Amino acid sequence: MSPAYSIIFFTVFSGAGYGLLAIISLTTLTSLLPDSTLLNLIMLILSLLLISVGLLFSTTHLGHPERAWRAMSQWKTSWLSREGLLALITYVPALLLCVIWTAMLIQSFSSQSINELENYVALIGGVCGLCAISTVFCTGKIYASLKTIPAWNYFLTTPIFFLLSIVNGLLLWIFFNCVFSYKVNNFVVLFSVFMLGAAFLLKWVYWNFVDQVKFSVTKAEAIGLEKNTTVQNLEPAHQTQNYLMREMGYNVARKHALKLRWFASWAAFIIPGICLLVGVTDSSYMPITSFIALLCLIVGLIIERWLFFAEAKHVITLYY
Amino acid sequence: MTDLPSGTDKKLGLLIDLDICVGCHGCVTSCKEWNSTDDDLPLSDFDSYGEAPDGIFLNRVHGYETDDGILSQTVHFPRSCLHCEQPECVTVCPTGASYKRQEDGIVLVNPETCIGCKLCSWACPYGAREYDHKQGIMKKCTLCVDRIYNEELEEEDRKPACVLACPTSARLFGDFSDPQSDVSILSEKRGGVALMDNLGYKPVNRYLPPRKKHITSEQNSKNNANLQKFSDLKPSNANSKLEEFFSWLDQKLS
Repeated sequence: MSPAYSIIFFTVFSGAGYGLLAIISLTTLTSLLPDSTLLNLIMLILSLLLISVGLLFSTTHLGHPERAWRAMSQWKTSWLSREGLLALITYVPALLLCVIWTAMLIQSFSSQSINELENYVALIGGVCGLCAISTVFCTGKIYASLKTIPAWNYFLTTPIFFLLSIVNGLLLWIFFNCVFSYKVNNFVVLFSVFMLGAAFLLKWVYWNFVDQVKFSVTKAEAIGLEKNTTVQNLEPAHQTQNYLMREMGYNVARKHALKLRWFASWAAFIIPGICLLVGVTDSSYMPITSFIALLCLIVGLIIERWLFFAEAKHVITLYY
Repeated sequence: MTDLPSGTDKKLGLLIDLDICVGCHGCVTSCKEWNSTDDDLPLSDFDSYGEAPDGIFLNRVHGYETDDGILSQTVHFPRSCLHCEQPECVTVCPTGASYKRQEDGIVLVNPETCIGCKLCSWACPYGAREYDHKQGIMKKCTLCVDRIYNEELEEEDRKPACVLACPTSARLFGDFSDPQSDVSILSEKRGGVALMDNLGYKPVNRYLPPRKKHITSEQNSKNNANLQKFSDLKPSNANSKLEEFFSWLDQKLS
């Protein structure tokens, strides 16, 4: 499949945004919520910015971006529609949290009503987290449900999308806590290292699967002949590349793919993992190591996402 | 809505005979012509006279060389929308622009509501949908819905353009839900194939595989032996001194 930059940036940036939003929301349910309302608000706004920029990127690959609102209508059958709808719904609790935290910050209400508002933070946070996680789940399902692309039609596709989004959210959260000189609970850091390890493992299981996977049909069956008939191309249907070949026929050489897999592994998983562990041993390093971890992760995820597309073979390539 | 109808009244589709298709691309050009003439939304072309001409076609003909161990032959394979009973191109559509008609089973795209997200082309295993980047929407075979019901045309012209154009009658149009229709009867008789059936899209169109040429492997090896004998033969007078002399003379003089 052709690695369209609009979709790579959309899935990486929005994934990061939803991950951060999910982590912020989860912390509202626990004692891990930073005391600083300002910090929470800034992180919340950042997550919404990342999500919005990602969504804008995704509309650039549309032929008619001005009709994008129509994509909300077919949630009964289409994962893409469900993703779009949930992406919009997520803004509601997220913006509500923004309003509450802003109100708390500027103390525009009496202290009694602020206390009342605080009671709702956990509830709204819970809803917000659920929406954010569901949106990423739908993104994964868009790819995982396509039977035409066996590399994606795999039970790990959605969990990996989900895990990478959460990991990205965790690293953003840790970094911003450090920037505001809040000591990050070691539990959160070690949990992040664990999640990085899990993502690393699942990604290699996925890559191993991609190397093995074959189409469930042969070239002969694609043209209506018996399964074991050998079929060779004789006369092409057209002399130059067409839409199908450009969109579906993209294929990265295995040798390069392996190099890029290791590059992505070091950048997205190994280096961030080491950085976080260094930060755990001496928290004075944490601001710098969490920054390096975050930067490497984002570069790594862009490569990972590029490979996700470039390595996936579409069944129509049997005709060419 | 991208909800599929629970069943369709008719199953209109094409029966394509791979045995007699000669790969002339007549169906390709007539399809392009019908769907681009007198239309606000023609099938766009890009760089028509340049280095890499490209364009939208709803039908493409591939040529293959096949070998089943007994017989090696050339197969011409026309590829277009199969108007599946379970078209995932329809169910993945986020806008409802793609739909399957309840009355005749034809799968269509509404050009007014398509956002050009291309997901339907990813969901189709047959490569039936192409993206028209001039108009920003997806294009696909309509089974000439604007011909087959067109009362301004003569009765015999109310068929898809590709079917009318085919010089060898390798394409038949009809209703597969009616067991008495020509397409159903012929498909039954010749073992019509639903392409890549195990993927589960339940295509309506059927392909008739090339007929068995009744060549057994025994017959085949006999044929090969005969061919071998034939190629071992030399012209009867090749060793004649006189012939060699004439040949030498011919070379020298010419």
